[in-house]
Amino acid sequence: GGTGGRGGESGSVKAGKMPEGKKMRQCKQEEEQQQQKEEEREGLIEFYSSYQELFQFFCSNTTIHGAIRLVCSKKNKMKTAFWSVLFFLTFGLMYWQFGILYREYFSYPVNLNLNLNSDRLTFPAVTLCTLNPYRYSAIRKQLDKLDQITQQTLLDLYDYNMSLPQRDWSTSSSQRRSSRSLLHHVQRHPLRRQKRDNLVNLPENSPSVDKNDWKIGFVLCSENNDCFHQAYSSGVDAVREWYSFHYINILAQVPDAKALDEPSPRFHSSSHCLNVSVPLSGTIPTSTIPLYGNCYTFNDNSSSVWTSSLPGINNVGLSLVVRTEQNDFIPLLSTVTGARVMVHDQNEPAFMDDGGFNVRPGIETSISMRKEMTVRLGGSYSDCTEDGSDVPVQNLYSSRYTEQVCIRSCFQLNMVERCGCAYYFYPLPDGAEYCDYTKHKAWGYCYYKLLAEFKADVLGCFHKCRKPCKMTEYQLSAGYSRWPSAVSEDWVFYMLSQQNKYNITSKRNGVAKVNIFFEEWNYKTNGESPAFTVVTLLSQLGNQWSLWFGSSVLSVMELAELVLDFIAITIILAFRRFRTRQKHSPPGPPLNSQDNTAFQDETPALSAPHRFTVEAVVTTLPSYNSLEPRGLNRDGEVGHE
Amino acid sequence: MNLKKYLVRALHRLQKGPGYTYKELLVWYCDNTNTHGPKRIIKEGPKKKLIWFFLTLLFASLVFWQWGILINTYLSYNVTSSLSIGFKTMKFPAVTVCNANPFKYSEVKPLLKELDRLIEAALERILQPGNSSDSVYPPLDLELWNQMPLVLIDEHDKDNPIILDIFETNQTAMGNETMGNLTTGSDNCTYRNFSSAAQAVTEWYILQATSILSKVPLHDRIRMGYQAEDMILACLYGAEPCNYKNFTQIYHPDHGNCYIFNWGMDEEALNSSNPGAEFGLKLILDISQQDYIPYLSSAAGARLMLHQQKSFPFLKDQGIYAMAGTETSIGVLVDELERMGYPYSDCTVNGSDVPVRNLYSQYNTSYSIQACLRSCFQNHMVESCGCGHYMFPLPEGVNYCNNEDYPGWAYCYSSLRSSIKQRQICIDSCKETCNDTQYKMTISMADWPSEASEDWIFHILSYERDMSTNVTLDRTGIIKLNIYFQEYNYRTISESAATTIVWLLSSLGGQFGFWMGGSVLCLIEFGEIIIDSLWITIINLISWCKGLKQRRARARYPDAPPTVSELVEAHTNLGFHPLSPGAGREGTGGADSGCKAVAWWVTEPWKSLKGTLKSLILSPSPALLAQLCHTMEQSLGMGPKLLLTSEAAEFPFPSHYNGNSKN
Repeated sequence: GGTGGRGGESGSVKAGKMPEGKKMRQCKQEEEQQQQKEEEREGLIEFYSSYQELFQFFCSNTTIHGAIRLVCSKKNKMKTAFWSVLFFLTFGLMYWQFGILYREYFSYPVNLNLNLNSDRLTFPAVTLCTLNPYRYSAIRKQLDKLDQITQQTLLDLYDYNMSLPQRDWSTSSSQRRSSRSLLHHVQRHPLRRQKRDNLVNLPENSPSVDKNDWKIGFVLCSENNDCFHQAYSSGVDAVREWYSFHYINILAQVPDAKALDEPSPRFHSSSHCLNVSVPLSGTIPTSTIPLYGNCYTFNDNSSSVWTSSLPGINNVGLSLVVRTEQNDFIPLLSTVTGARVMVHDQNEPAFMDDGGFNVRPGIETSISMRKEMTVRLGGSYSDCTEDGSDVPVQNLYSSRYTEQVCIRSCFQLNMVERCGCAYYFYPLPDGAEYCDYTKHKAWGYCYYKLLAEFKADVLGCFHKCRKPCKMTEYQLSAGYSRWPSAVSEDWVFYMLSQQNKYNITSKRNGVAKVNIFFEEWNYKTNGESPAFTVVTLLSQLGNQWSLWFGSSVLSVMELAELVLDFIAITIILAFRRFRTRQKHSPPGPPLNSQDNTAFQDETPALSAPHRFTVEAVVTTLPSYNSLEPRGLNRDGEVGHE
Repeated sequence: MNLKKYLVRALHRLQKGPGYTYKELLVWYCDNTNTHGPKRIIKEGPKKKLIWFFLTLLFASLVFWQWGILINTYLSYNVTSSLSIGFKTMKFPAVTVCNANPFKYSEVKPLLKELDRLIEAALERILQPGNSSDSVYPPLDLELWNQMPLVLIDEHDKDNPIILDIFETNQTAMGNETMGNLTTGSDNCTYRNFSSAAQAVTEWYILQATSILSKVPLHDRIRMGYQAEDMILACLYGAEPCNYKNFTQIYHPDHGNCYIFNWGMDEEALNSSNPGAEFGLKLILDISQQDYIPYLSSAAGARLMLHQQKSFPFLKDQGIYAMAGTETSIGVLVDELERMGYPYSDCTVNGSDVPVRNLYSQYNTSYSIQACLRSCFQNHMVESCGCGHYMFPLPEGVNYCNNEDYPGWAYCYSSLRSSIKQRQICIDSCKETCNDTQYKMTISMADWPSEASEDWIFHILSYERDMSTNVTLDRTGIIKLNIYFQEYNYRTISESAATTIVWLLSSLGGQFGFWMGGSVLCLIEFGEIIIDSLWITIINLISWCKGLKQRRARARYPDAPPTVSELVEAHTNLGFHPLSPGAGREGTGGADSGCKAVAWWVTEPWKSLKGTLKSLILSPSPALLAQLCHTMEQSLGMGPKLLLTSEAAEFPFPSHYNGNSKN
């Protein structure tokens, strides 16, 4: 014969394990409990009297599949065991699956959507720099002096006498003072050759030393004379870096950067775009980037943005003729001939260094663009920011938030904090001034130290700055051809010089032509959409519930009810036991509960656990019992009870 | 002891069977199953029953159809991909730079002297046909020529092309000419055709020159190439200086000495955390065009390639040229593709599961599909030609091909190279890598050095290289390279499984729950029913067999043996006489089992029956007693009838009864 639900089994096991005396005592306690329960039953709401009852009720009434099998197949012990093992196995499996589902949901996966948009393309802003730092009149004198010092240095180090363009050296007292102070500052940062890993200043041409063991660099010292060598393996890099270091210092001394923005004759160009000729000669440079010379941005104002609806060079595009001749050059800085073009979105700063495209003189460069937009889902889906307002870095640029804008602002703010002055290439925060070794003696040392920290991400700029959720990328590819061609050269140069009123001296290297156009009519958009929403999660959870137990949320409620009931019973029983112990602690109570029906319910369950039956609502198998020879016996029992 | 008892009992339980018939089983299942529908079939009226039966059938088939679709979807192993673009600190790529010209002409001139004279004479013949000027030159060594002569093919007559060896005859056909070079095999020949003489001569020269140079030992070839200190004049990575010692030398068959920066072999790969040229790699190279081998390489410049750390640079496939006298700016975008491995896509993680021996592993480089394809080709070459091609590394114990030791190698090579079958075998056996990294480059050029600054730049560079104050460099040999990350430096496409096992299970469960309200437990219920019915079948079969045996045994008894009830009657009521057994067996489980039971009872010793009856009566059950009394009254009053259910003794083993009574 089989036992009933699990409750009965566990109850019997518990009782069976106890020694005889203890069992007796427990029996007595049970009796008392039953008494009290009887009392309470009259007064309070109806409640299960034991765990067993609770489990029986649960198993027979729940909507969870399988639980019912525990009850209705109770006459077959093997089946009961099988079903209970199965029940717990599926339960475990389901929760394992739940765990996986939750993990998947909280990883916030996204789907990638690729779209090809063919609406009207807005022509991007184009920034063009001449790659030719300009000798501004405000600092001309100091630059001349710096050239002289450089000439002397090169002569010392390389036996090379650089020919300087002839200038009139008017020696007024103020200039002499300024040049003396410049010389003093330059001498604080001398360019010198050193042996590898050795700070000893070596005599030149010493035959004992292999030339490959030499490095060249300049010394940077902090205020408390902690010095280090900014070293380079080649003199070309060293001289240029050294020169530009001084050039920045000289530039920084000019109080107002606006004073430098004088209309220069550097850029004379003609342009036709969007079937309308836009005269561009005499355009005022929009910005000045010290090492890239004067820069001009086209199509930057958002009020009248050019739109392009047809691809290809002939229809719509920007075509520029750039004069790349180097007249008033600084030989140590402008080592490259040509121009640098960059395509970027309106209201985004042009970082010529990162995304620029070089243009060779004497060549027509046809740059075809392909636009690609990426729109990310914000929030918990990916770590991006909509407009940068939630990024803990102040945006120093006047433009829209981009990752590079943020990183540069972050560096600049750190620079101001640590070195007390701002780096010249980045915008100036409020209340700060540009670094300049007349005021901040050790800024060079500070800057290079900070740069190393920045690269190693000690400053945390790369963590603080998050990607913008929406970004536009222009992929450039170029084709080259000779321009102007040999046969057309003469008239092209004649026309250009007539139009712009200057003479082109070097024919091939004097001009360059740039065409910028869209390669395709459409542009690509990479969008994201959530792959795993709350609805998906719920339906997946529901599916899992359904798969393993064929049940719903209400079944979960049933389970919760079971747990609550279990706790309630435990509390009640514990409370009763506690009270009994308090009341009848010294003498054992008399056995006076023979006529107690509740007692009769309970005691057989403890002594002979399989004697109770469940009042199952389940339809039992017809004639199941009657078929067995012991059926009579069983029937008798049922009838008896 | 206890265990044995339990086992015996379990065995008996098995022998007894589930205790019901098929129909009962089915009805019981329909009533108790958790799937919706079956309950309706038995509960409703006859017409509705039919409707419900068909509805259940329909929904069950719908569920199976949906399950089929879902499992099919799962087994197709689809993937979803996610894309991310942005800037992050990334490993700087390895940069390989080579000179387009493999060897310095001044070094290899003695080796190529004969060949150069030969090609000069041949060129003269081609350019000035009919003007024989053999006497001007010292006699040519025609041994090289005879192995692989250049011929002129006149294809005026398509069917009978006239083939003329350049040195054999002065007569050349005018008009539609095709240059070809003849490649001799051991017994057969093939022509490689070119439409232009320039192409033919270059190809011919390359074949001849490599054949000559392959006999030179490797360290001599390295010595004849460009040395790092001569080629790499300046190097700057970000703000840190580097020089030629930071480069790893590797010998490339086409380009001679190549130098790799940041290969990650000995030290950690460099990271770059900032975009822009100022934070990238700046190189100044000298390719010294004056020392180029005139016929070997007609392009001048530096060959460079960006590739992953620890991967072998395949310059012929992916290299780009940088022009002399320019500054080449290369903005890099790292394009990564992360694929899921088997079974989602057919790719390999580290190449260990590819059936081709990777010959490039001797360079300690990682697997790539190019390495695999080349290794595959070389292995085939070694198999069919007996020697290795100079372009690829050698397996152990094999030599490179040359004209002297392997006269037919060129024919063998060209036939192998044009074999589509061989290529297909290699393509099939080589797998792509799961993590594919490509470097997308935006290349732009400007003139460098500028006219204004070239003076001081050349001076300083010459001084640093040769310690001389004279300028030893010029615009035709000097190249500047800027390699840096773009504003957005990575684009990663990573795959993830679209359908997981969790997805599959929950979808299966969802469908089952939606159509039939079922769960896994219902399936197990169904399984249980099947097992039960099998059990019944087996037991029925056994009993049928036993019945057959019994029927034979029955022949010994003239009369049918008394049934249980009769025996009981006989025991309790001495005046009782058994009636014909056929009347008692109506409407019961089966004639066979009844017969069998009776037979058993007859053969069984009397005391066993007595014990059973005792236990029956002793067990306190008023209902049983009442029933007994009732049946006795009936049998006495209304004539003979079967008292107990005949199935009571379907399997009447005594131990079964003992066990039952213990329960």
